[in-house]
Amino acid sequence: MASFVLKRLALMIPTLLGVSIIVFLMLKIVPGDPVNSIVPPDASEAERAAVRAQLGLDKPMIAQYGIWLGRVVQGNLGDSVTRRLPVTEMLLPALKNTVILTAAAAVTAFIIALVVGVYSAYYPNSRIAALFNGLSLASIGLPNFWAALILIGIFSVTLGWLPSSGMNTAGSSGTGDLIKHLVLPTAATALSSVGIMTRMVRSTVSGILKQDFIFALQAKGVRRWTILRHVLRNGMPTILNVTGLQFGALLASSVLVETVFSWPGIGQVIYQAIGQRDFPVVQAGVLVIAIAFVLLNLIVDAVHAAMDPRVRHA
Amino acid sequence: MKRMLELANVKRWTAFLLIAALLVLSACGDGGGGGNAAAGGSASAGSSSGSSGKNQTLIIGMTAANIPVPDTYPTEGYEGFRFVGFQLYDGLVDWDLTKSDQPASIKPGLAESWETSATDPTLWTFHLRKNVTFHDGTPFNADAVIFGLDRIMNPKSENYDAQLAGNSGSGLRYVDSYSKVDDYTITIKTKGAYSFLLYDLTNILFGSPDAIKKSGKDYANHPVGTGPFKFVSMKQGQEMVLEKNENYWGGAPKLDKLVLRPISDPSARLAALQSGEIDWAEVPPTESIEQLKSAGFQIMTNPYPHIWPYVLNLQDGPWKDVRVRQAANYAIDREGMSTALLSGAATPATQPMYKGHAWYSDDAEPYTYDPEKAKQLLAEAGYPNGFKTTFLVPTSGSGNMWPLQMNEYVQKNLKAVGIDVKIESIEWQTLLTSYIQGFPKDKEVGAYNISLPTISPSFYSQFFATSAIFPNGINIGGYSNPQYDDLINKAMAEFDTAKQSEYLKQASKILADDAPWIFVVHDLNLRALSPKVKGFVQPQSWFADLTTVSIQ
Amino acid sequence: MTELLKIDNLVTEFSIQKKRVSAVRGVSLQVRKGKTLVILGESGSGKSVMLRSILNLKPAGARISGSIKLGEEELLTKSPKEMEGIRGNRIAMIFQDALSALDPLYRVGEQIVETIAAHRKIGKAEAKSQVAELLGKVGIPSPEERMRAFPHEMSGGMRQRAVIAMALACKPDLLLADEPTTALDVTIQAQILRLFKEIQAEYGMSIVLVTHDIGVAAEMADDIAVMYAGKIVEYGRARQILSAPAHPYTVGLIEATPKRGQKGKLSAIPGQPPLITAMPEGCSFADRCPMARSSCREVTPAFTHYGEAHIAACYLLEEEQPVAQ
Repeated sequence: MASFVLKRLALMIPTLLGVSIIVFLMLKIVPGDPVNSIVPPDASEAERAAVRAQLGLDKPMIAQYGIWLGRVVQGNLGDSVTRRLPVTEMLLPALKNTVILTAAAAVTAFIIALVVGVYSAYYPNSRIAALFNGLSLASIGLPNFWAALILIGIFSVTLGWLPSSGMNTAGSSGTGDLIKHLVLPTAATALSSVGIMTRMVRSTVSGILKQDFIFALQAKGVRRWTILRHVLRNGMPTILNVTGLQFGALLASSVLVETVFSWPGIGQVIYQAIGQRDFPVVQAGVLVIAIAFVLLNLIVDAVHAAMDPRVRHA
Repeated sequence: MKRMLELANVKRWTAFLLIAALLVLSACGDGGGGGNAAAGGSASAGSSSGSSGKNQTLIIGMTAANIPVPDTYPTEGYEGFRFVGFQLYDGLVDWDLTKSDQPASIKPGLAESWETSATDPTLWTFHLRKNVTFHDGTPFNADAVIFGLDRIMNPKSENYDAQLAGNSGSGLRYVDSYSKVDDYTITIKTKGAYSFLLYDLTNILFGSPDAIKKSGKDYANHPVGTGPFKFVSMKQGQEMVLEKNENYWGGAPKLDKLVLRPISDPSARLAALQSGEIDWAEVPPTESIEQLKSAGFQIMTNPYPHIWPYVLNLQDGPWKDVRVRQAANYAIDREGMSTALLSGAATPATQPMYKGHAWYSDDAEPYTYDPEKAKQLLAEAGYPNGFKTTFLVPTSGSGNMWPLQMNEYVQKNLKAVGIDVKIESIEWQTLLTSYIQGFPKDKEVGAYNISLPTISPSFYSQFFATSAIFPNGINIGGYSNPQYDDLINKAMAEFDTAKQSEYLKQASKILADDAPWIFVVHDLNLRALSPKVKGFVQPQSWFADLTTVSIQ
Repeated sequence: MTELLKIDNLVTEFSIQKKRVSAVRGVSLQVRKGKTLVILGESGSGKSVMLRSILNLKPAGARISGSIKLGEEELLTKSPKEMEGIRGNRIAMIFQDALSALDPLYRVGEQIVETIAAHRKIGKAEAKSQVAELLGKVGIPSPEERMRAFPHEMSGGMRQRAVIAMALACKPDLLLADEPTTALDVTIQAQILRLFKEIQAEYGMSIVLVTHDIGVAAEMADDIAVMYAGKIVEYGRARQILSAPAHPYTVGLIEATPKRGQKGKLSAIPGQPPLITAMPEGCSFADRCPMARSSCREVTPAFTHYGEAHIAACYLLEEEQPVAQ
């Protein structure tokens, strides 16, 4: 197991290097000069050149990449061009917020998908399963952005039950307040994944229910809940795997959702940084997300290996 | 043999109820208790709306996606200056934002008075306000001013901050040198006689030298100024909390607390206002104006120095001909755009300044909506059948309002008189980059659509003077008129405000006649306030005085 | 009363595309105490469905009717809860493929403990020692260690032994075995069959063994029921049926079986059994029967007693009335 993890960790390095090169080049190709975000529009070319030199943007591209990478390896992600703050100071709190939102959405989607998916697999012909099926199809088709606005319209503006924006009521902080602010963004983020994950759980579970050992378990006279435990245990590696992959989708939809709910996450930060050509922030942000992804995949694989003795011993 | 599910015998509804119960439980696990969430919701409504006049906290929803960095030159453009810069800091001169019926003028700030030398118009003397302290108790004096100027102008100073200098640079390009005379007097020497200096100085704000030295690079997390509000805390992307400066030299604000929240999505901002999470929303969606009004919200509009024009390419092609440019100006239905499309959130622009502004020329004939005249002018210019051209326009961006719909509107208007416009939409930052590099050489582009502030008279020199023709400046259209240049030079050297305005007025008339731009609309600085927000005066300015505001 | 299990007119129906079809079409059988009944038939004859019907296990939408009596108790009217208590406890089942009958993610020992725990109130340690004892009894060496193995870590023969141990866990009165040796190679097959006999001798349980293999039937059966297209076509003492098969289908089956040492071609029964969705009128074997006549396709033949405790359903027999008194 340890060697499995170590091997996978070593494999991360070329992946991340590749990501860093792509991100670096992408931003160089994109039109737009970060200097514009700093100087007023009427600044002269000399003033622009001075700022450019100050930011190291006058050096050859390879040198810029080398300098950047060298710093990154030492944990220094540089300073934001527009915000004059260390990138880590901007990204880490934002990353934390995104993780809170994405994890809440993932857990919500996971639990709903599990309950609904298992139910639909057990009773494929029931009317409730048909209803769930329709809802999950609809949720896949509904853009998160729309869902977010509809949720805000109902729960914030009309009913006034839940706040529509931010992470905290202005000036206050606290877990209860945070959770209240989390509900709508979580629902909006989880929505499309719930549909996909429900269908996936349903097909996984109904596949398992067709297996002989389930019949054998029934023939043994064990209780229904014991059988359900076997079903879940067998479905879990696949379900967790897909959940892990859905994290990507959740992260992607959280960017949009973050904008609608003014959730101060990493998606917002990167989105804004792209608009302002704040290269250090975008580079570091994408790198952080790439690392998160690779780590997540590693965790999913490790969990899968831990849960399935056939994989573990192979 | 297929699966044989004994479970089919279970009463389905029992199972469903169980699953439903599980769902509720899971929702609780996520929401920290369903009942709690609902109860908490009403509590939050209570805390923000049921304050019964005691809680003097104002919560503002900004259009920025993040909290402006509260250094002495804040980020997030003029919105950063509006809510952070001018609340935390003062300049030597400040904007007078107390009147809504006339454009904001310049008033004494940290300098009580100033004068230029009778013999040397380039030598300015500023007499500093006494008994002013920064929020940390550091006294404000000539040393603080020199420290602040060194920070952005003197690369040899240990406190020099190159990036801040880059931000502030263009505001100080006419400053040659500065020096301390005594503890409460400083002098500034300009490069040539330059009467616009005061406008430039409004953006040069002063932070506490002690705090800057103490915090170093981390200063932006602990900003200390002299302004009406003191910094309390800041959460990236979430909120900035400011509290009142009891000892503000200009009179303490009525508010106890000011909370700034970045909510970049307009509909989200609207929702936050409607649900009582914020008391003040910058630029709500224009289509919501009627709805907000009928719900009792205060809709604030007022003209201010802003214009949404097309900067025309005068170097070659049809736009070289003044008659073509005038024709385009006659072809635009500005009223229709302002009222029908923008629900009254903008007002027609027929010259750089709006009617009522000191630099607005009453002598210039205002461009009316007259397609016939436009066609006639086009025919005279040799384009009886019109022509084709391309406009580069932004997809979004501060001050651009609703650029795609507005551009389509203009496109329709111009098409009606024969000018066939191809619209190329470009992302805002890319457009800015492209703009300062002039018109593209590789293709025919007739105009840039770009929203611009017209706060300072230097606007006249930077965008239209012959000396500012690209690449020497940002007069990228290549407009040149010796008579105009002469007026601007006179205005720049004229220290009497009335006389200076007279020159600028005449310059405005020339611009209206020569039409180097298609003037379209002035934004009206739309904002919506909760009914409980009292005492706010919507000034004719980009900025806002929050000291008079209270909550009822 | 020598019968442990008495099945009367058992019908198992399914819904296939909204049509009701019967996989088991009125089967009546008895299983004698301590004896082995072999149900012989080709695949698709309904013998596995019948076996599962005994446990009242059926897919959604299926219906079982008739009567199944375990001793004096009618199983078909029992509640799901009561059936849970009978399955694995008084009636246990063994499957053709032990690998797929075991949950791949649980250790073999755990799965046996689970069975015991479902029916007996018993401590974990005691259950474990019982499992070790059981595994030893079915011939698994170093059982303490093998308990901790996952199914995929065992050989086919060991797995089947483990499944047998699981079935024995609660000392059932009746053991249902669905082609328990088909997936195994010949030597292992013989070992497992021997094991069945040993445990039957020790526990005195009755066995219903479903197979398509006459050899297995010959080895194991006290009684034989030949099943075709959801019906019993011949039923009686094993010795009689094997030595003097009455029904043309049974005759065909026996002829299709390689005798010991026999080489060369087997005379397999030509054709395929009918689909349950398209059952013909009359005798369902008629289409493949070398001796069929037109009347066979009109009315289903009834059973004819053909000697003591030996019945068969064929018009041929009705007419000939051969050895009967």
